[in-house]
Amino acid sequence: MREYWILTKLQLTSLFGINKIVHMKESADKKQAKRSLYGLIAMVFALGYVSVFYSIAMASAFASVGMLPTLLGIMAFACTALILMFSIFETKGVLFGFGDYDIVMSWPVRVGAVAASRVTNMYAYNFIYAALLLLPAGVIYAGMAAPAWWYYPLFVLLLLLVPALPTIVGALLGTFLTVATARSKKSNLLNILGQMVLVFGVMFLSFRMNDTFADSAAFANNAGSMQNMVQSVFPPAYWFQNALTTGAPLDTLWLLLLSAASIALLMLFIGKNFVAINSRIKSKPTHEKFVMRAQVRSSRVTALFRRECSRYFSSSLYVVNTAFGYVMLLAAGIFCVVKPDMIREALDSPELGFARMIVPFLLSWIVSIGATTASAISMEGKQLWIVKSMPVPARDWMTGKLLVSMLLAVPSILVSSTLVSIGLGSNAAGWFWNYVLPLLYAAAFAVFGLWLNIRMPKLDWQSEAEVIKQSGATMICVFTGMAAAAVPAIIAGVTQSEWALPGTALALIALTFWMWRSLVKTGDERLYKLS
Amino acid sequence: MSIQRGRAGKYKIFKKTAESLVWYNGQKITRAAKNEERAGGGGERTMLSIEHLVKTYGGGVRAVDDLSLEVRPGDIYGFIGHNGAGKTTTLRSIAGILSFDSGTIRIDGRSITDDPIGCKKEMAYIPDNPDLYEHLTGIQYFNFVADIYGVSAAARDERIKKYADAFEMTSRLNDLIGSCSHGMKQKIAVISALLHEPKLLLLDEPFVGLDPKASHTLKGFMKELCDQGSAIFFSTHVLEVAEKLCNKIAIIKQGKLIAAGDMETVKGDESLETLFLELTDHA
Repeated sequence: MREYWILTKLQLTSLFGINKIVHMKESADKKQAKRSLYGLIAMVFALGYVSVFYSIAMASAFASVGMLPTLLGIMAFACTALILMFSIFETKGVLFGFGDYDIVMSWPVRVGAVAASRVTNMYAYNFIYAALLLLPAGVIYAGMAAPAWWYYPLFVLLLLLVPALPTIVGALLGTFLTVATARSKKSNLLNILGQMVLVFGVMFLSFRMNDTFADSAAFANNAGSMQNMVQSVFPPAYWFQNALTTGAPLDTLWLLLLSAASIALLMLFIGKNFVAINSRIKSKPTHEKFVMRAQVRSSRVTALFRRECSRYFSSSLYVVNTAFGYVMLLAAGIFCVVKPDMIREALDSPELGFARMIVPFLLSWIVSIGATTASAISMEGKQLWIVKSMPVPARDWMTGKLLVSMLLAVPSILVSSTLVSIGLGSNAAGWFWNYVLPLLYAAAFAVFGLWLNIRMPKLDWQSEAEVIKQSGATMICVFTGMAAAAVPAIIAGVTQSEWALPGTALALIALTFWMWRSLVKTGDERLYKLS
Repeated sequence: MSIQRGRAGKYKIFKKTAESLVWYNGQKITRAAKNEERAGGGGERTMLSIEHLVKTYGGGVRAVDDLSLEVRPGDIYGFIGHNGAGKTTTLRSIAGILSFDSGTIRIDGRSITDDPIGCKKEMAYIPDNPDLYEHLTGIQYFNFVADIYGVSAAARDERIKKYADAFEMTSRLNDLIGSCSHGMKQKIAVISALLHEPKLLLLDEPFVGLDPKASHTLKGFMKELCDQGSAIFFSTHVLEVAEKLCNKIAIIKQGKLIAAGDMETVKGDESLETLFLELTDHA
């Protein structure tokens, strides 16, 4: 236990880089680190605000049909699905194949303690997401239902328990995937595909639930069937709801037992296989003997672009997190072609007269959260010295990163927008905006990602998850992307102005141009000062 | 040359030759410099010129304190000092990786601050623990470096073959760098630094991690490069190597240069180790 606690403390010191900031001497680096932390805190507050907004809206809807307790079940389910996905992503990098593996494993500590400390690290981050989703729901429920005194301590206990189960299950799924793909020569590709399949599986289950909610008759008239549905899809969410609303001790016990059992299972499995799995990951296959052939010369930007591509595709976490939106975009395009009548009927209903106008914004919304550039500079990590010591102008260096983002965006937008336009039977203007607006968003957020990341870099990471999922630049870029597409879409929907699309396009072009100019102007100096 | 104890118990290094650089408490008092100054800064070409370099870290710690020195074509210039003396900070500042507070660094006459790209084209740097792109294979990394420095296809073919064969790395060039041992990564870093035939090669502890044969090979290439008119400035803790390999040496202590100049002039009849210990313990 002592070993576990020492290792966990070590893990938690890296949480959001707070320890580093506390102990850094006053310098430009400290200011930069502080800026990243403040950005991250601001994003956490923004997320909290969105969560409060949704919880209030859902609480009012549920209360109006006499099913307020379902709010807790639904939020527990959403929280579980989110954490499950994140945990699958994070397993390779946080639990296995982490940077300080060699030094940690050289210490006289039990393997189980090392593995447990890594899982606790995953849990700590996931707990923040759980608190952001469940705390507002819990407080709003308490305000509206005025529960007995025991509700409050029980809520705190269950809030601690809820992220444990999906963290463990996600870690187990991620572990199986890592083990299954580690020895293959195409291990990264298989890992990426496997993660996509698992995550789409989780999403499919969530959508099944949403379909039920979309049925207004079921929503209004059959509160009992709603609870049954939560119970059938994910019983622990129902136990959470039932324990808090009825005080049923059995449900609390079930949650406790299930969490404990899953922790025990994970520890048993990982404790025995931790070294073997890490060895599998670390031992890279040796290729056939190299024979010297004539080499081909490329331009500097091509060389940087190739290097950037190679870096990008070498990390399954990086790919899954950033390409996910584009896969969703393609899925949306296919859906539009497969079920065009259903979509057209919804879009052309009199109540949704503005719907066709906001289709390009919907496509852009997905595109704007997929910029690879928000973590591309941080991903240089300890290898930044190579570029810094080379005769590489910052503009070329950033162009390479920008091109990778556009390499993902452009083909997927062209294919998806074509499918969407065909499916929706768009007119010429519709076709035009379905292509142009998402492309402009993709370019704008690729540049914005760089603009942010060069100001908020995180180069001293031990696991890629610290950069790809938990850094200030990434979170700000993703949430700004969501807002940047949602706000003009709402304005377009409300005003139904024909200037909404060209106005947004012009604003994006101006902003992209301004940010790129600023990057080119100050890039060399900023690159020089990065450390 | 002679080393004499001064009144305050400090050491002075005296040598009255036109070439030698003589230092006392960081003050440059050479005849050569004065002659050059009189001649209006002209004279022999300088591959690396550092003047009054100061680098301060957070908390006001002066890692490099008013350091000045010159490296000329053909020099193999050793840079020695205790751990934390300021060697790596100086090397990183020269390489254009680390910003500094004041002073000037010139690579073949160009300022690293004003023309970093021009300077970097002329040099190569290898840090003490080279973290390379582990997702690339050796040959991919060499091609990347060669593309950045604009090395022609024919020249890179010839040089990759020459250096990879010499370091016995050719058969492993298709392996990911991540799968290589520390010594192999060091060899890859060395080969990549030699691909564009730099005029100035900066090395931070280059022999750490290399096996004896690879060390011998590297020394051979260092001499070859300098015979072609390039210069090498490198830090090392292996004083025997520095003594045999270098024609010039600089000793740094707590950020200040306490001795610098021709090897024979600086060390005189003593071994470099004896001089180093005397200077760093008492100066």
